Parts: sequence; C-alpha cells; structure tokens
Amino acid sequence: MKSDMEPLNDNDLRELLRAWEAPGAPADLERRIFDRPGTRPWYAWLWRGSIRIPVPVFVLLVVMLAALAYLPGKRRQAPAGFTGEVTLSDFQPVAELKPRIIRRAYESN
Amino acid sequence: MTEPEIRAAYHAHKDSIYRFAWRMTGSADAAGDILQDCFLGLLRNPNGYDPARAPLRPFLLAMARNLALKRWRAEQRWEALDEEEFSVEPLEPGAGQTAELVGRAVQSLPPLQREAIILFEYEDLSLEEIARVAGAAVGTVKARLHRARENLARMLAPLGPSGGGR
Repeated sequence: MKSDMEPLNDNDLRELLRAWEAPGAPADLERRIFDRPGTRPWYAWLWRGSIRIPVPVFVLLVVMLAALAYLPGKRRQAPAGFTGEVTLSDFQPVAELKPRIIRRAYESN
Repeated sequence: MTEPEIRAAYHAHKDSIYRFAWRMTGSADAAGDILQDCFLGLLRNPNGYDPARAPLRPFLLAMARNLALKRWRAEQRWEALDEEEFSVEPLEPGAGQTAELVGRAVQSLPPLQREAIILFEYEDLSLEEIARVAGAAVGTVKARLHRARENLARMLAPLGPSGGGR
C-alpha cells in the first residue's frame, strides 16, 4: 500500500520542506571566534593571559623561594655583641708592626 | 580583508552558514564548529578571499560545505557521497511532527543530494551558485537536485494532502 502512494508534486514538496526550520547561530560563537588568542595583539596577554602551573612545580617553587629567603639571612647573621652601629672609635691602631718576609720554596736564602 | 570587515561579514552571514551546516550535519555542535572554522580560516588568511572572484556568501558556504563533507567522510568512510540507486521508503506520518519528519528525510539523503536541496530550497542559491559552491558543473547539480526531489517526494508522500499526514 505504501509503494502505491503518489509521490508529492513540486509545490507540495516545497511547502513541506519549508516546515523544517533551522536555528540561527548561537550568540556566544562570536566571542569564541574573535576573542581567541591568535586574534589579539601579543601584549594583550600581559593583562589578560594566565599561566597554568602543575601543583608539584608550584610547591617546588614555593619551597625554593622560602629557602632563598631564609638562607642568606642566616649567613649574614651578625657576630655576638654587634649593636648594628660602626664608628671610627671602634678601630684601634696596630700596637707593634711585625713584618714577615715569605720567600718561595725553590729560592735559596 | 581586515578584521573589522571579517567581523561585519560574520554578522551578515553567520545565520546562513550556521543553518546550512546545521541542516547538513544535524548537529548544533558540529554546525558551531564549522561556522567557527570558516571564520577562523578567514582571520588566519585574510587574503584567501578575493572579492573579484566570487561574492562572500557562496565562498563561505563552499568552506562550510567542504568542512561538513570532511566530517561526513571521517564518520562514514564506506558510503558513497551520491548514490544513484539510493533506496527510499515513505516515512510513517505518526512517527513525529512534520518538521522533524522533513528534517529526517532530508538528512537521510546522500550528502551531495542533501547539499543541493539545502542550498536551493533553504538558502535560495541559483543553480550556478550551487555549482560554484559544490565545485561541480551546473548539469551535475541539476541532476542531483532532481534525484533529491524525487527521493524526498517519495519519502514524504504520506505527509502530503492525499497521504493522510498532518
């Protein structure tokens, strides 16, 4: 019975085809196309960009920064009794000068 | 083309390209990707479009068409793009709304027949413009359109005035 059915004529077919409507382009597509990194000037990255760092790398960086901040302070620790001020009165002249001549080992005296 | 010109072209043609891609692929995601790829292609190669050779809309439709066919070939490697012996069965009128059934019928056509009917009936392109978009001769496009109409007329017969459909 189905195969006996008359096919549609052109006008009826055209009218039926018009029933199938399609949506327009979504609004967010424009941003996806025109705001992609390749379409912006390179310096825009300086205030819009971001860098993804793996958590282990981030932890290592924090540990290294903490170590750098701590260690030089330890090396530069002041000697005991140092008050933080240095004046000329802290310097004393040499009481007795005892020069010592050091010769090279292969030279005879 | 400058970026402002490409943006203006986007506003002028986005719906047409999206609708074509949506009807060809049956997928909103695929249609969005195709539209995006068309304009990203223009942004990356603004001198790729020569206004002296063709109007912009058929140029964009040709890009969208090639992208849609590329997707189709990736998914359906072993099926022909255009089958002269494509077999059709009339659709069941109670299987869905008219619009849905029409959409299903059009999307069941072989790709080259599908693109011809979509560009002619829905995008109102002339045969010469369709031939330019499809990279085929006008006579070839006419033959594809004729076969597409025959197949659709048989598939959608139950929905016609004498078929008892809605």
